[in-house]
Amino acid sequence: MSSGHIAGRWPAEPSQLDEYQPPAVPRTPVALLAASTVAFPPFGIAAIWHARRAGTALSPRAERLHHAARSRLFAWYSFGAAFSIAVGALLVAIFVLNDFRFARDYFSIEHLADSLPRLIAAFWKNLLASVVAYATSLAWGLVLALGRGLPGPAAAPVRWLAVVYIDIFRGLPILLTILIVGYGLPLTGLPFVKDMDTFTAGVAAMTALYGAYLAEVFRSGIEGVHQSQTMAARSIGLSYVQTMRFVVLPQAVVTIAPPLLGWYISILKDTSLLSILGMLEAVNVARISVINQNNLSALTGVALCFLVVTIPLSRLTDYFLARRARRRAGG
Amino acid sequence: MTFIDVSDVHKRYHAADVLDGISLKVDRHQVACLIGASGSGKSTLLRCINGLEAIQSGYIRVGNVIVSEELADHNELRKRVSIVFQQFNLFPHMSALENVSLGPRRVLGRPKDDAEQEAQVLLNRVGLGNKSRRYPDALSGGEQQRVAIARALAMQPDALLLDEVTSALDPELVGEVLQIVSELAHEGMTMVLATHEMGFARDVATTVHFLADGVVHESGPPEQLFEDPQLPKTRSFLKRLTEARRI
Repeated sequence: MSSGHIAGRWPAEPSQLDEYQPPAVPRTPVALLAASTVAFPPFGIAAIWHARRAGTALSPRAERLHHAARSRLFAWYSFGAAFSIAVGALLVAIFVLNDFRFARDYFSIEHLADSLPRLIAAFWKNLLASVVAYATSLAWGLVLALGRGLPGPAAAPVRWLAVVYIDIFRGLPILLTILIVGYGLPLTGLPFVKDMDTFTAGVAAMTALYGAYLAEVFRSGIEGVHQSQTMAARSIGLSYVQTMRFVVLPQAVVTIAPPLLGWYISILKDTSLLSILGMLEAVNVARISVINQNNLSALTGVALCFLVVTIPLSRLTDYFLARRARRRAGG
Repeated sequence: MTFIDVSDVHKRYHAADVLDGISLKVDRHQVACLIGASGSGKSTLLRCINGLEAIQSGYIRVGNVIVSEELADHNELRKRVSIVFQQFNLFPHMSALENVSLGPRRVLGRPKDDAEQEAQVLLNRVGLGNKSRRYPDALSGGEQQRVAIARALAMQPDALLLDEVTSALDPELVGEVLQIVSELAHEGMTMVLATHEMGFARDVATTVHFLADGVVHESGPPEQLFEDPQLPKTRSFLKRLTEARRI
């Protein structure tokens, strides 16, 4: 190994010039840079200009290093710009190709204007079902989590039942659960369940499933409260139930609030599956519109209905998580 | 009359004997100091006295509650005996006032206003009257520990157990906590305290108990135990301690 290589890419001393060999130019990055320069010239040209300066300028080592660094930076900018342009071009192509067929199918203002009022009216049903199912799932999930955490050998059957229930329902596809609980139960002719309407049956099915998921969220929150808190609560004479109610749960709920909000979004989205029970919720109504109008814009309309609710909620969840991270960091 | 009576108590964690036939008697209005190396069973003994941990064998009585008995009324016991922890263990989602008034409200069934009034009196007493609305994370370690002492006193206990209450504090905050403990001692509160503060133990203790290997190795009044320890193990422990202090 010659000393020139050890000293760096550029020889520091003229005497080392003989030994200096420029590094081989890797082909793939150069090809990528050329392609991205074609897509969006400004960054690519800047990258190439800096690369040439770095390689040829008879200037101090520091300056050439500076040009090399700028070259690399602009090359990354160039890749990024070219990627965005490629994605944008693909989208435009989808809209434009085949004589604007996609745009007319999915974004027809007149069809949308016709169907949107009906979609919004039906979407209220999704909102109502999701809010009710969320409330009942929270309650049921809390009951399951508390049952699973009961202390003492006497409560072993309760713990065992809770574990089996949670395992079963977490392992089932939601569509199957809706069919088993929402479609099947009313057919059994058993008292009470035989009179369930579609809405109640759907909410019951979602509660059965999401209760199991939320139970696990509650359990993680409860277990996240340090054992010394329980000990302190017991030491001032609080009973097990009081310790849960006043000390453990209030702290657990604070930690699991963001994930709980995330689960609401899931429940709202899954209300679309209640259409399998014949419920006239938004997605179902949209399908009917699609058939009647012979146009797909109603699907776009119902998508917008969901996004108007879910995107702000997702942002809110992220905001809560970020705020907590900041607070933790702040001590 | 003996208020806390511990005799021949065994407590095992997995295979290790933490308490290996320990015995201890504390009379009313006495202050018993437990000293000994880490792992000698001081904290475990305190938690067993309060019924927070079960024991394998032996006898523990506090007042007229036999703690070691099956079906012992631990909730009744904890109204009589309060414990203060090394790590404070305040409830972080409650203000100082709520921390102190929780027990009286929920366990003793006092009305909210009465309980909070009394809690305020207790917080005044530990010098935190103006910080009663603060949450634990807005209080220093010493202040948190003083709230924890107020919380323990709120149950109007007959005895107080203190588990190395200054060990988690920065050195400059130790004084304010020890001040309160020594005031309680002079008022005649029955106390059992595990401590590493030998100077403090000498000042407040009626009796000092040196724990080693899960038993009380040597007991005596502070002057005797510190000045003239009888057993070699006690002597070497105290010697190590003074040497450590010099460094």
